[in-house]
Amino acid sequence: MDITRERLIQERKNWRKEHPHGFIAKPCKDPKTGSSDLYEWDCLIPGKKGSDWEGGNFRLIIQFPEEYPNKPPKCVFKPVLFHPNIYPSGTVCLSILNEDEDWKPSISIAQILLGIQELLANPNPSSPAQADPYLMLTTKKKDYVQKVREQVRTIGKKF
Amino acid sequence: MTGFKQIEVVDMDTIDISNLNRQFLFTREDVGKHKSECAAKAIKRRFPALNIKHYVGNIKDGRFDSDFFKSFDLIYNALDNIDARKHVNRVCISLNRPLIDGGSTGYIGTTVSILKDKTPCYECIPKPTPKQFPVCTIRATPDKMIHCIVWAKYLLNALFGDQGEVNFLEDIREELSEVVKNGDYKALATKVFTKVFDEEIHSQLELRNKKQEYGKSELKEEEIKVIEMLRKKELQPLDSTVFNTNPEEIKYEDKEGNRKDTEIWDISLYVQLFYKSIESILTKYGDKVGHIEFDKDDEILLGFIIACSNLRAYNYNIAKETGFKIKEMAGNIIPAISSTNGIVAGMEVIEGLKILSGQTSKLKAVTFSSKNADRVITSSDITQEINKNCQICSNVKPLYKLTVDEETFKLQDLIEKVLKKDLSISSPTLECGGKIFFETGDDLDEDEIEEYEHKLPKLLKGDLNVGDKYNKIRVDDFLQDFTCDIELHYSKVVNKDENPQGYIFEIVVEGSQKQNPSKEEAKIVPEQDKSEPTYTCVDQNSDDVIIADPADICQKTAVKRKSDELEEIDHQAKRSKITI
Ligand SMILES: [Zn+2]
Repeated sequence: MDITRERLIQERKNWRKEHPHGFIAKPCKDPKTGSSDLYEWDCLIPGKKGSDWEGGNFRLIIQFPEEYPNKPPKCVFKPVLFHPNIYPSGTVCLSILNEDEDWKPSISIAQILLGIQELLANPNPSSPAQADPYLMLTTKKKDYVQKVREQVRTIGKKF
Repeated sequence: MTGFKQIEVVDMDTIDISNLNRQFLFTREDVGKHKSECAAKAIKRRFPALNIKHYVGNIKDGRFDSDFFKSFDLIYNALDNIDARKHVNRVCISLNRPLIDGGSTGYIGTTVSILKDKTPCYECIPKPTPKQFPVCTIRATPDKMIHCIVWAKYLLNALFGDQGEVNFLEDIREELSEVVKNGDYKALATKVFTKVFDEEIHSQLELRNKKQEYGKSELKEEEIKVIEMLRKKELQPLDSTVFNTNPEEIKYEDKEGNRKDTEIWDISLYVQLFYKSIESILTKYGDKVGHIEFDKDDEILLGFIIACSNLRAYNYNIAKETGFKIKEMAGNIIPAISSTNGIVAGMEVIEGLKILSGQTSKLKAVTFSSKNADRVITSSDITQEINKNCQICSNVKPLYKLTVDEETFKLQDLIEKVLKKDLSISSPTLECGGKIFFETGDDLDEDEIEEYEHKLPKLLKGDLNVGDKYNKIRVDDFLQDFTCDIELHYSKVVNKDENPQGYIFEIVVEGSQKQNPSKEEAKIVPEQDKSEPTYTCVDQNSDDVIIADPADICQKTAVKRKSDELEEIDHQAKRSKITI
């Protein structure tokens, strides 16, 4: 628990000192106490330039388990995005966020967010997590792109 | 000339006319301009090939972050206060950058090299606390002007400053706080004047007579002591009603409206200045009243001190002093002497060359006196004096214990008194039980900053519930990379007499991994009274001494020396940095 806290304090410090342009990541504020919870971060990912996602900003919540950084955090889009690698619950399915796959304790929050930005632009059809977008991407690519653009206009403009 | 090619200078000050006698890089036309800029320009004129950059700002500003410090091979301190020295020390230790600290007070000069694991750091040896006068001397029996000045500063605090400050004039604060709040300056000035310059002196006169009437046996021991001290003194109460406190013409100012600070005045003018100062403080500092802190460069506050200390001096038949002299004494200003600074700069170059050429085992702490009568120079091998338990340069993460009164202790007390004053932290992040409850820094959003500021006046326990579940606060300095834990304890009864600050702050030194884990307790308040170590910085007796200024240090580039040692590194491009 001390290691987790220490690491999260360090992550916050590193982010404050330097972070990728256009991204936001900060511990969630409890409006009642004004304190921020190190175990839950509120983030904003800008759609990658040159991709169909460009122009939108998408809100993501990162939840850190007590075992972090030995175990990876859980990343959830709020609201849920239409994307083949995002579960209907909003949770992101990405190898670097999987303990049994490519997660390493040294991965920083900035790296996670950049990884997810990349995933939005370049979905991975080999590990689908949401049926509709998966089917649309693999069968009707045009409709998929249109749906993504629509999403950029609706969800992506709110923030 | 010594091979430095890239120099960056940081300083926040502007050039004062009084700097010109010793800071040769500046001329009369430069008065009022920024020191760093003028120094850089003057050097550039003489050494056009030199790459010199200047910044106007405080070295503790967020923009001078670790990346900034990391870009230098060598860092020079030419600072005038302990707080900033500690800050630069911590940053340099955390980044493993060599630091050379220099300073001078009058004829005494010092150079100390600091390099992690090779020499002690600036905080390895606790600095002795500034010289303090016995309370009794200040409160009841002054016999020097400095005693009157110290008293005047306490009076300023008691009337207009923060309550948290230690002050033995608390009775005056209590008695007059209502009148201060009312804002009627005439009433306040008369009340204060009558109380401190008239009634108090009268009661001392009575006390003295009392002794003659009753003899020793019926008096308290303390009273006897005061009487003994007063016996030889001629006490002169001052009755404000005999003075014109609201004159049409202000006689203590010249035609341009400047206070005649180089002259000694008639006592009536000090009375007038006293009234005028109180009026100015109440009318011009309206919102700040209750939080005013003495600043020798604030003309209004200085006026108050000049008036009060001279009036008190009159009370006790002590010779009056000019405003200029009082400013010097009140600001603990010790005259800076150019030759001392020149020698310091020269020694600093030599130490710097040792570092750059890798001869770190030869680093020295050098102290000297350039006064004719007692020319001495002591140089000591400091490489053996590293404090293994130092909270800054060893790997020990310190643990502190803080006991506070839950009914009065606010977040701002924790930050201003414990963290900033006691621990010299500049930009704290506070975390407890996985929640960050305070941060500060230029990078934060405006609404975040506002929200945190809004929390400052709140009670740590009652309002913010800090320590309800977990009592360990993690403190992390955003700029210094200094981290420590504070164990928080609440108590209803923190004895105010023993702990005038209203809290008890102790260090529980954690044994480092290699040593045995037994916890050693040492009280931090009152601070350890260590005798002067061989390696120290000369300004330790005062927070506000004039230390070598940028110009003085920059002159190192003009030091004419060529030895093998110098040539060896001459062709290496070196960056160095000066913080002032
Ligand atoms: Zn140290």
